[in-house]
Amino acid sequence: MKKLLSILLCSFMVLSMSACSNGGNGGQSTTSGPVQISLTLWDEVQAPVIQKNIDKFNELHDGEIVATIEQVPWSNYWQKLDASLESGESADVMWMNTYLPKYVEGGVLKPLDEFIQAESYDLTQYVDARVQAFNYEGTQYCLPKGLDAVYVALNTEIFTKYNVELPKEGWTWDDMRTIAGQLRDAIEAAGGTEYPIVMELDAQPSFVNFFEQNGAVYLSEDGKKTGVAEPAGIDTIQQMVDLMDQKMMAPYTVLSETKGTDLFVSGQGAIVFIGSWKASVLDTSSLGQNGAIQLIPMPSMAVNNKSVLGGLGYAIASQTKHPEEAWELIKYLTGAEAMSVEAQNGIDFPANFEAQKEYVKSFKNIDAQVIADVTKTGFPYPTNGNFEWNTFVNDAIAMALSGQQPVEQALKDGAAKAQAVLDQLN
Amino acid sequence: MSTNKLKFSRRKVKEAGAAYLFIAPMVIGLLIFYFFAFIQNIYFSFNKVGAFGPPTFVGWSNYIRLFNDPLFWTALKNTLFYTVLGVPLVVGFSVVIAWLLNQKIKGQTLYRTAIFLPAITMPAAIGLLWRWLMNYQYGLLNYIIVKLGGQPIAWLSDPNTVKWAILIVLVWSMVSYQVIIMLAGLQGISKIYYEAAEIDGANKMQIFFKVTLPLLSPTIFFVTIMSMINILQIFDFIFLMIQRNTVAYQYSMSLVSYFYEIAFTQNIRGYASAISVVLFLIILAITAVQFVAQKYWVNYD
Repeated sequence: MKKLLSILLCSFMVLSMSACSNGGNGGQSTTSGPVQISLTLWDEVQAPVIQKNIDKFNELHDGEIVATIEQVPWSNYWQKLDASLESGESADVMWMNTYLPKYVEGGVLKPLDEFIQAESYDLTQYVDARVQAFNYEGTQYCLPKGLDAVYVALNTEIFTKYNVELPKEGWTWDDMRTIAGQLRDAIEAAGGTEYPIVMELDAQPSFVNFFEQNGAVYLSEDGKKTGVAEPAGIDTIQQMVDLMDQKMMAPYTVLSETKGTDLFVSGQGAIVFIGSWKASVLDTSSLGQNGAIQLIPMPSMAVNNKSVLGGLGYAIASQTKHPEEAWELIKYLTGAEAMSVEAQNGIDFPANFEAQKEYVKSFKNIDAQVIADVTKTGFPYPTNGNFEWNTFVNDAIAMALSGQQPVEQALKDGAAKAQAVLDQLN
Repeated sequence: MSTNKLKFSRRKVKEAGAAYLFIAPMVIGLLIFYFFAFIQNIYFSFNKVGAFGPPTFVGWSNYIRLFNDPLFWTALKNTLFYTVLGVPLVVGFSVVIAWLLNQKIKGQTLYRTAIFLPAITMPAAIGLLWRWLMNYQYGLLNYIIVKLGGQPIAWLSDPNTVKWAILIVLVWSMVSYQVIIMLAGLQGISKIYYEAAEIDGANKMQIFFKVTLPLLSPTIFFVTIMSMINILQIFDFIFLMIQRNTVAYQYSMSLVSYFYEIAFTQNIRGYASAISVVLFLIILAITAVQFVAQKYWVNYD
């Protein structure tokens, strides 16, 4: 009896194990039924909305294609993706971001050029900077889904309270310093606790923009040189440090422990540099519901006020058995119809121009047209697929911003180490 | 001597076979996910391994790079800081608290539950909780300090305090589990010794130092080894409490934090393997020293 039981248990275990290993291979059916393709993504907030689009897609291709979503949490999305690509069991279609070059160099992504040429697919329906971001050495690897832009949000309650005039579009850093100085003095006089300027100190919503705007080079276009330790680069970071030293911006201790966005929505900051991925936070905050948030493009530094544009794209695995169907899927998901649905739900700012209108309409308490305008002039996120050099640069910037090292010394040290890494790449 | 040879009846062999069959899933998992991974890790440490593609052999170059990498030394220094201060604090607190809990006091169960609570709390929850307690602007700790007339402390962003902040959370979270082990050790000490000591006229302090501590020494040894290994592998609280892009991270990162970053952010897997192999050797060496040293202070009678 015991023996029988153990044999039974073992066979169950073996069965369930083999069932698992079969599960990963979505599209291997050789029968004549509909083609099965899978899409892997990480965002559990976006997944239900994208599922709606997938349902619609499956309806449109009834009997031909059945697409499914494999959602993997962000914390192990890339690890799992790497492992599945390596073992030949990956999903057919995947979300991709600035890590693109790593995957292109690994030879695991399917070039899209043949599809695009075959049907003269119109890429001008997307924001150009995002198309370029997924174009690696002349070959297109992704269709862009959405994009992240950086802009400024103002807390009009604070401006009214301290009787300071709101900045107007076309403002400069000098204007910003004047305004922040007025706010600082007024807040100090009244014994208030607010900060004139707050920001998140991650690269994307802060210094990556400022370098470009001040004529400095975070990473050269060919991805081989960083110019952060050149005079324009040093000046850029020095201007940020000065803002803190002159108490126009919240001190480093505050900004490194509490996110700039959190300070802003809790009414502790008058001016915040912020990304579009936080737009829905602004919209639903009580500050937003009180009608106290006004958006405006960033102020210009020496050269311009362009925003860096990040964002996701859809890529096809080169190991897929159904490239045609995968191509149909990513065309649909980045198209006007599907992206309008995403925009209406406020989950992503579409790279597709036609769908952008829906995004602006989806916000009740902020004028998201400003974000749409900012994207027209943006530049792609500077990256070359290596994440060692920018660790040195970003750590050096943290050293400088925190006052642990003088700006020039910190940046020169960091840039030297970063450049050594970059020089070895080619 | 042949009579010493173990002999099993057929029935026993059969039963043993069944037992092996039952533990097979565990053992196979252990072999694949621990043993194989461990060997592979050592192999990788002599190779250049990127995110994709086969590894290429590079000899000792990952280890040479290690010795010339200032960030590795920073991480090692920080890890030793946590260990050298953390282990005595954990052991000391857990002995004292266990001893107090072992007294006949009112509400004993309540205290025991309260003390044990951190041990069954997820490290993620502990990290996030303390991150808010220690927040510069809104944290409860600074609120109390300011109420008492002090200056707020930038626990998690001042490079001079951040290591201490991590140490506090580390000790706080580790003590609770070790207390339970110490308590078990205390209760394993026979009452005879205490009665004898009392009859001989020993006072409470003498009993604690002359009876309790020596008889508790095997437990103390165990707790010392375990907490040392745990602290040398510290990662979660640093990961959860300190944002990567802040300067505080550069002053608090541990060897495992550095390993994580090299392996999973920068995708330099071969070099990361070398870091973890060195950490393994450090743990091995310190543990070996402890086992030799225990002869002189651990009392197994």
